[in-house]
Amino acid sequence: MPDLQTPSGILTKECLRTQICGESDWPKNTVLYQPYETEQILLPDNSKCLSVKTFLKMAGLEFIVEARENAEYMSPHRGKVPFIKAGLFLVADFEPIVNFAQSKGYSLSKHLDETQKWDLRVYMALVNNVLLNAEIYVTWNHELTYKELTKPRYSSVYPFPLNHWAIYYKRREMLSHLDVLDWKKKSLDEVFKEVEKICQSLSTFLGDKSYFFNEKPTELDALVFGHLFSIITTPLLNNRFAATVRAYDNLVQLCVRIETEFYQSRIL
Amino acid sequence: MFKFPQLEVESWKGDWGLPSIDYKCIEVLAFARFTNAPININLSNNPFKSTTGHLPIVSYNKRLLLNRDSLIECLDKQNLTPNFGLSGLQLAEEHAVISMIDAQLEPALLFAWWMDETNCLNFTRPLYRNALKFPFNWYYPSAYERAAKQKIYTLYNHLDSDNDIMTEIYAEAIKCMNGLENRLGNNFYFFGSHPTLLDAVAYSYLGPLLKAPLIDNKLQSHLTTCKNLCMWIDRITREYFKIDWQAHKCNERKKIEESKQMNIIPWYKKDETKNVFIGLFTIITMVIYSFKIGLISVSFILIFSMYDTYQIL
Repeated sequence: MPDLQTPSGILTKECLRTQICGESDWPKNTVLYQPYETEQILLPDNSKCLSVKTFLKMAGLEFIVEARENAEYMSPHRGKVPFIKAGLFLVADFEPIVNFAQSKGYSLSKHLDETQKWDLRVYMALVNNVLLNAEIYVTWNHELTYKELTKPRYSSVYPFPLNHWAIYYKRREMLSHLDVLDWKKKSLDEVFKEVEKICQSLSTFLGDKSYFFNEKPTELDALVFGHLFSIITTPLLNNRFAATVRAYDNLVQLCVRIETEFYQSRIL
Repeated sequence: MFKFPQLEVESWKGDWGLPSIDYKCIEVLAFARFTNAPININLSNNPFKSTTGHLPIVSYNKRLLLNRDSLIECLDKQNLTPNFGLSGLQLAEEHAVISMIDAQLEPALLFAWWMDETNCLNFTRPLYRNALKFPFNWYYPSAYERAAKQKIYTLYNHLDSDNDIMTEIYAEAIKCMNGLENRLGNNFYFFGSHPTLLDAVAYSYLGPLLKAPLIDNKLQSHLTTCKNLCMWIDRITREYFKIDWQAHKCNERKKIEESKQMNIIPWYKKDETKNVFIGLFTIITMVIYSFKIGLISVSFILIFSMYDTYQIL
């Protein structure tokens, strides 16, 4: 057990975790668990699942998708979907999965230099902090969407008394999450303004390159694709969210490009 | 007479050379200084007036500005943008970096100040208790502590123990600092020779982390190894918060002089003098005592006889 009293001790613990994970090759029968896609899954979870799947596909790692109604309770980190079972390890959420793959020697950002790695990190943080919160806001805090879409979908998989309790609990958790980040008080207009701002930033950064870092797709592309594609394709009460994203041509082009390259073969 | 509207800011008092003890206040003050906005700072110790129970209270033309975006918008309308002269790409990067700093350094600061037992009991609570007025200082420190804990537990509700949360938060914060250190390099400010919004936000978190004399401060010991960031913090303090900087310097000098004065002991306080005095006092007492009991007696006979002789002569 490393010493937790010093900064270096804290980082050693991180390294130790990587070392434990990094003993063998990518396990053959890796399974990705997620909620049911057609009946149950909600926008924020859907984006995260899609991001992870895209990342794994880009890195050329094999995995099977399994849908479970109680995936979020199975997850090693409570409430975080998707998670993967790789050999003996359970890893949840996008970033830990990326780190896990990296410890096995599969990384999409190996060829980047220091400045580019910094860019990669900050833009990933941007997507995780702003876009994800906007999705949570629309799903849980917008009264109409909650009543019409979120409630029936989320409680569809649970039997009678449990469904009310589960959704009450989940909503409370999500609202307090928004509250501590000062998102709960925002109006819908302000949220869309944030979304517009982040799309503007991403769009400027992408420019007319084919991927964010020139020719090769990276983790950032996977993450952005996961979020934007879900936003564009998920049917909500009105298409304002999707329309905000669609206004940025090069981002839509990016989504189309990634979809044709990594998903088309499955659809055909 | 028409009075030009000014930004009115109620903020906590400053310490350790920083303009304020609270990071949100520092942020607002830094915005104003960097953009040269006309500003009226009232040092306050009464958060009761604020709707949220927190300082700063920022208002312009009697309209409250509750968050960062509305403040920037307000400054923008006066043509005082902190992002003057940045290209689109730089603006995008700034937006991204700020979102990362907010997500990683704020929990770190809150954790170090409020969640760490020793710091909370011996540093943070007394700090706010002293800063507040009488009836409020019983309520607000614990309210702030509750808010900070609530925030951290909500954001990290997937982790079980405090120790796990600490490792996660600190590891993220350290990585973030290293990133900032490399990004800053030898530049004066993050985007060249002028401070921007990013400098203000980063300064508001890193300043207190570096300067506040916490008892158990793991992040501070890491931050002191980031030379560029330390220099950058000092540069901002020196150039934009001259008064606080000078006041802090004066205080420091006073303290040093006081400690120096403590070193030069005047002669009447020295141990040797004291011993001599005690010795003298003892001797005198003993002599008086011996007179009293008659051990020593001075006979006057000789004197009288001499007097007699004189008379005879």
